[in-house]
Amino acid sequence: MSHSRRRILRWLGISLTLPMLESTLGRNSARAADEPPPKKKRFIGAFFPDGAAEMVGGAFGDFTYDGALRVLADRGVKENVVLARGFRGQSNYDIHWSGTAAFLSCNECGSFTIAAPSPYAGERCGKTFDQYVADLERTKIRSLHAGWHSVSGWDEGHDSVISIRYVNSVAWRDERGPIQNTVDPRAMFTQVFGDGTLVADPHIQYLLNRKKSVLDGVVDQLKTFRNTISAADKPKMDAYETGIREVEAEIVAGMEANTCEAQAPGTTDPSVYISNFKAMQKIIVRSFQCNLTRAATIMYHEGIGDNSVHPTAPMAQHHYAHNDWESLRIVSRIQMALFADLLVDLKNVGLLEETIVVLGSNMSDGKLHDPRNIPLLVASAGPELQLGQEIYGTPEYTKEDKCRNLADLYMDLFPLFGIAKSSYGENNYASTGRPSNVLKP
Amino acid sequence: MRLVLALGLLFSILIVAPGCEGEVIGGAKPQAPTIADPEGPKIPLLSLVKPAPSPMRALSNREYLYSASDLIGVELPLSVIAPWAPTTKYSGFDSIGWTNFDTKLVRDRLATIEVILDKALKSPKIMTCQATTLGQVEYSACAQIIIERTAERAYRRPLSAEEQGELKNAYINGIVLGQPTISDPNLLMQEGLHSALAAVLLSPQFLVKTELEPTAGFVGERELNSYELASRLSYFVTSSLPDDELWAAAKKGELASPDELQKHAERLLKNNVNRFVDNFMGQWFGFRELDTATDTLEQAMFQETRLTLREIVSNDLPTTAVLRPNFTYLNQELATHYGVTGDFNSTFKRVTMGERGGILSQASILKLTSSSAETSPVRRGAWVQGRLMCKTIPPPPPELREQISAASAAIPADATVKQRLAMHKNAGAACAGCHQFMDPIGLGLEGFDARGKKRTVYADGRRVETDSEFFGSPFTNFEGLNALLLAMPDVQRCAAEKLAVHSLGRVIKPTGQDADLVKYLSTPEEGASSVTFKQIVVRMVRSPAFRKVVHAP
Repeated sequence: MSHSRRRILRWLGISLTLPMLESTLGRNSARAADEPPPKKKRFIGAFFPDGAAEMVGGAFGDFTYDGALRVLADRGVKENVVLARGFRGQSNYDIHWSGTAAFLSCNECGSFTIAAPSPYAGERCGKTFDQYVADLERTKIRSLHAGWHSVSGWDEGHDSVISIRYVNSVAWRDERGPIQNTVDPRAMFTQVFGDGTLVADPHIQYLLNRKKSVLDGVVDQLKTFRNTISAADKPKMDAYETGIREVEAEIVAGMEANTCEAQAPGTTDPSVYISNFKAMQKIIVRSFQCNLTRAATIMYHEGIGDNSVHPTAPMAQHHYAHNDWESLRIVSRIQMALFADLLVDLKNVGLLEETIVVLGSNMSDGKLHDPRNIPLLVASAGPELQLGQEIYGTPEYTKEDKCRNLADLYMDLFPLFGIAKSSYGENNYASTGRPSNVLKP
Repeated sequence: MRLVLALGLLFSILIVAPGCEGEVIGGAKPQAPTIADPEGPKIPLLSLVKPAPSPMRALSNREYLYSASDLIGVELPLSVIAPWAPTTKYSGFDSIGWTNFDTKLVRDRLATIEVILDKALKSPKIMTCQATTLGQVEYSACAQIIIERTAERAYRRPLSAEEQGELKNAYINGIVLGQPTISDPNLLMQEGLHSALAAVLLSPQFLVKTELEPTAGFVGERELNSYELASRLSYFVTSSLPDDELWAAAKKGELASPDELQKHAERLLKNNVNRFVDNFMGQWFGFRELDTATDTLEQAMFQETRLTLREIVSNDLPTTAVLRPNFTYLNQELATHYGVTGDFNSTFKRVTMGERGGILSQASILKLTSSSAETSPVRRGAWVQGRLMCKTIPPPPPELREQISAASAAIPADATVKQRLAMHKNAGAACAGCHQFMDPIGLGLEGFDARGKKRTVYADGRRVETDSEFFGSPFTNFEGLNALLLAMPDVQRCAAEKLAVHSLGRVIKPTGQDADLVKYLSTPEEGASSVTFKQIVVRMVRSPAFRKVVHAP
């Protein structure tokens, strides 16, 4: 049976079951008894592509509280945000590729091409921040990844040299494993909560058990197959088995979803783009509430596809970034409003203090693919961050070689999650050991 | 609006800059063949062709859909794979996989498995027998036949004893799950089959194409066995698993003979020309994207290109006919769109005409090389270089950002399209390095708007200028440009290169043994001026590049 997105949305509004009983689900935390609890538990990496209007030469352009960020003040979450200036995106081969894939890992992405291949024919980036947070606890859902659209290829100049998956994935399980986004809220709902209110039905339970049984059968076949393939190909089968195990866990989570019951408000926005993201953001927040997962990413757009985000801005975001800043402003406001919704939702359910949300882009001036002074926000609640402030990774944010590496920001955030790391990122994009200035002194 | 157009054009200009190296255009016409194939018909240069490693990869979404359809004997609609994450393409082809193994793939396939199994368990191709008593529900001869026959066709080779045992277990697990609630023996057997066949449809043996080492750690070159050849051939031509005849030949070990392999290649091409056109040429030229269009005009654009190319392949016309076949297919809507008068209705009709028909004058390609509202000469020029001449235009390097910015600022707002292109190209050698290959082609196509309609003026009233000069050869309009492209050897060389990418599922490099392979595939036979697609297919399947594999250390 096929569903229109509008119908799915209505369905979500009617039957979305919200988790309330976090305590009913098991924890697997292995923290030592004498160790202070980490201050932060959950992470969302949010990404929008192509920069913001008029960010020419490293200037702030539309990415100010008088511009696209006004909605944060209007929605009462400006004081939960650090506005960070002077950080740079990654620009190897093409900033759309490297700047997206590397946003949360800071590994040198996009340098591995057909001419200089990694074992995976040019597809190699790095494990992203969200995945480190996902490692902290073996939750039912490892992580959630919301997106709008994926592109299967670009032009000859790119597709014969570098994988399009750099563009499509802001989250990477490891250096070889880009994670594809879920673009359909119904699919994400099923991934997290199974078939919702019907889960108590014995027949539905039977069907879920059958799915699980099928995957067991697949794993048996996979193990036999794995024994026959070359050592170079075995990691691909490992990745497939990991995927099967994760889907099995999702089925189990779905079967237990009846432990989390509450009614979600329906959404009535006429834009499929907006309603989809609103729905998926709600699912992410509810799965945080239920501790079904600790980590998520949201890609508000992949940045090069011809897909519009709203009827008032009917052409591609990429087109606007290059040619039409007035329309890019419209797109930015839509995406910042979604981001504000996310923060408000996290705040309203009391999760913002234990959550850090990083929002950023791969470039500042989309017209010239400028990696200087990328749009960057860090959101949370609590005493650790310079919330409500505008901070400068460097005052020399108009100089590319002076801009701070994003890795310095992540290095400051890792300890808040209780994650010990001596460095982050690699080569020109590695952490420098200097503070990012996002934390309070 | 003019500013938007200007900036759009400007970016189009800026997106491609230096890095264009080596021979990009021209070259002498290939010489007549001198080296005979000792194994068969006289095919030039065969002895130069060498096999290469073949990477493991997952079936693309389309290949999975076609394979599942052919396996169960029911044509599954494209809507089945619509929600799936798109398959990553390389060089425009999804037959080359990158990693493509992740949780989303499992989730996508599992979400649609019920749709496929529902049809499979009703298909006479799968359900060759039924259980009538509970005694027959056990792993009876009937269930075993269904499962093992389906699995070996899905895996494209005989099953190992371990695989047989595991599928039996999967069947029994399905029975055990169903027993508490199901008493009908036939339905219960179906539960077991559901479990086992679902495992087949999600197993890597089905999802993955690979040619295994004959023994652990084997290094070196080897002949592919009959099953591997059958699989290579069927995915090359039909994007699916071997059909009954090919499978029977594989079982008999007949495909080791190049003549036998050629016979099946020709048969498959003849019987599956739509699949070949959609999946090879549809990806080569990109028009396959339009096959799910909801707009009736876009559907017509797709059909025009598909039908034209189908005739070129079926009638064994030269590869260069893609540029000027002297015929096309139109229905009423497309004829009206083109301004062609005649007796048309909703059915497509073959029309003999010179001015349309070649892919560069077809609305499908002209639309796909434009943004939704406007043309981009540079984008179109880059498309022609990449798709028709197999010349890659790289993106501009970051260090040129400031220079590009300055060049942009210097272009007057009222400059014409041609002036803008010229001013930017002349801004420096770095810019001219690539733009000289693209801009003239784009200008020659400016007489077609973003939906492929002919035009002589832009929306703002300015005259469209289509005259330019392509490496010393002046032309005044599209026909002149098309004639220049036709005279170059690049199209047939590029056809061979693209077909090699599609058939071998790997990167084809412009140098070394891959260059020899492309030369072998694309060199016209003695006395001929061009190769045909069928000739390239036949040459490919007879070559060591196709019939052998190298296992690297």
